[in-house]
Amino acid sequence: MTVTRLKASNFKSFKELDVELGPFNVLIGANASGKSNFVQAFRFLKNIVTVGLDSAITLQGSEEYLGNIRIASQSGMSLEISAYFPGLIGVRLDVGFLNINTTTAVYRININPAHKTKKRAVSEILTYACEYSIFEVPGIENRKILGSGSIKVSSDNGHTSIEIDKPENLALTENHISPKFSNIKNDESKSLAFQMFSLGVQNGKMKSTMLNEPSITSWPLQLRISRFSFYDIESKLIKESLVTAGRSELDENGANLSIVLKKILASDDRIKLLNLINDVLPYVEDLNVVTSSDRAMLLTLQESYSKGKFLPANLLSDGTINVIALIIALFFEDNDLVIIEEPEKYLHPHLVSRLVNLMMDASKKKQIIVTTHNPEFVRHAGLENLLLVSRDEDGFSVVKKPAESEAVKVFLENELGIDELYVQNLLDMP
Amino acid sequence: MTDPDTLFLMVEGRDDVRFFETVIVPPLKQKYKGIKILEHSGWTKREVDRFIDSFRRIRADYILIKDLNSAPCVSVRKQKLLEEGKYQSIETDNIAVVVREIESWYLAGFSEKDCRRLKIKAHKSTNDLVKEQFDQLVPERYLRADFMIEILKCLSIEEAKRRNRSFRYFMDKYLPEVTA
Repeated sequence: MTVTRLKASNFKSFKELDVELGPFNVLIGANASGKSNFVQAFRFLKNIVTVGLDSAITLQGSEEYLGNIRIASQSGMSLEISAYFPGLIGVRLDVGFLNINTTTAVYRININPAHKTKKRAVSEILTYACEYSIFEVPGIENRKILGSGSIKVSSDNGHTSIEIDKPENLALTENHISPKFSNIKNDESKSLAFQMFSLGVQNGKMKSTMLNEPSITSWPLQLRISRFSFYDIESKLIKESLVTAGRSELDENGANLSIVLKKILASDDRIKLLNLINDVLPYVEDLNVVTSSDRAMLLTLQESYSKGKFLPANLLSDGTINVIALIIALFFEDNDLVIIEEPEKYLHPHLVSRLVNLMMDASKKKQIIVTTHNPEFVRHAGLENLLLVSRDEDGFSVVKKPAESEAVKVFLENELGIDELYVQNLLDMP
Repeated sequence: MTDPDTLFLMVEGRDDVRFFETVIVPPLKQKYKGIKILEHSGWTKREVDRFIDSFRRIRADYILIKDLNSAPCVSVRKQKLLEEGKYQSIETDNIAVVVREIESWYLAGFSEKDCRRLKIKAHKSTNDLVKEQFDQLVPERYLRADFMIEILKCLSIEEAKRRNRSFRYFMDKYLPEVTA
């Protein structure tokens, strides 16, 4: 899955946001321009899916801080995420075996905050664009394409429904594609996305296509959103941490790095990890995780300067720790979309280009969004991957693509570097 | 052909940026959709040429702002700048000279009343004021930047035009409508 577009209305510092995303996205902009709010849109979506709307709002502060403070507090807000979403669901019909191939998925949520005596009003729409084809005899290659359409699941203040747009004469009903849909109907207290996600997890069938028991609740957009990963690596914290237990997935701040590393170093991925680290940090020769008598796990590293000795994490440079954690987040974690804040922290400019190259490589398999202030990062990221966040005349955040600016093209044709244009604040030229 | 809607102001350092952002840019916004202030102090001749060529190609206006420094007059300063080679690609008409340094423009707009309030010496003219003299005027309880910000809070454009010739020239040339 690739998120192709993010739209928002009255969300935090954005009045209106509509931005197309690619595999590798580098978010730049001045302090307080709205970069973090852009990231929060993804976090909010993930929380809606994984912990439900009420908790998602609480995690953002409160309803009051969800919308823009310059817009009347009772105004509604919306978020919409579009994704390239190839998937397949099979339905056995009287006339043969129907294949429903999804192409894109769009999830939209509208929230009108509670105001005086009015309760909060929420509506959600999840639309899968799809193509229908039928095998008259299953397993034989006589596929007949029937046409395209869509399947829309919506919820308006707890009242849920399914709408099927399909070729005429195709006897496909709600029951065919979602026999368990009634389980999630009419629950005002939870978001539709959360219920669909929870039902899918309970069914334990989120990862496979449902040929035998089709169910729209099992279509995994919610699962994909739930696997958005956020990282803001705190190398000083990692250096000071002595962890004895923790999650096997890397924490957002990387605090459990030694636990995650121990698992990778004991697996077939050990060489791959060392190769990738060595590509950015050529002085790293080996890595180890030692367990002390009190069962605390400690990362140790052998540098080419340390005469064969392993140094404990607290003696390593912050940049070294940061790069190791990032490589794990990019290449060893099970996620589709990785959002990293200031990945170049503590890194020498010369090594920044290596990190950017590594991220570009990683973006061939998973989508990446990074925020940065670093001109060297901007220089190597490529103009087409830059998203510039700035404030408009009225103080609202806006996102522009410098690659679409005619003025920027002229500057670049005159051999002025992207980094120079960034430092001089010229990337927002029309 | 329509008038350019973007203006580039090329200034030397942070003190210039602060002054232009606060005093010059707001009234210029009536004339231009986009105004960019660029710090040019580290640029090489090649960069100057490339920026100037880019400004021309996108049909933007631009002004290079330079201090008078030790030159005897504005025309000599402009001539010297062109002879130095670095700024050869800029037409003389696009160069504005601050006499003598940006500190003179700051202090020029600070009224006698405000000078009395901060217990600093008021200058009838700041045409000959240099950075070092300005620094000596900074009251003890202020940092230099802090003092400059305080000046900008109550800077009078009319007062500044009266007390600094080069500021008056700049305003009359680029912002004649601001003249009271």
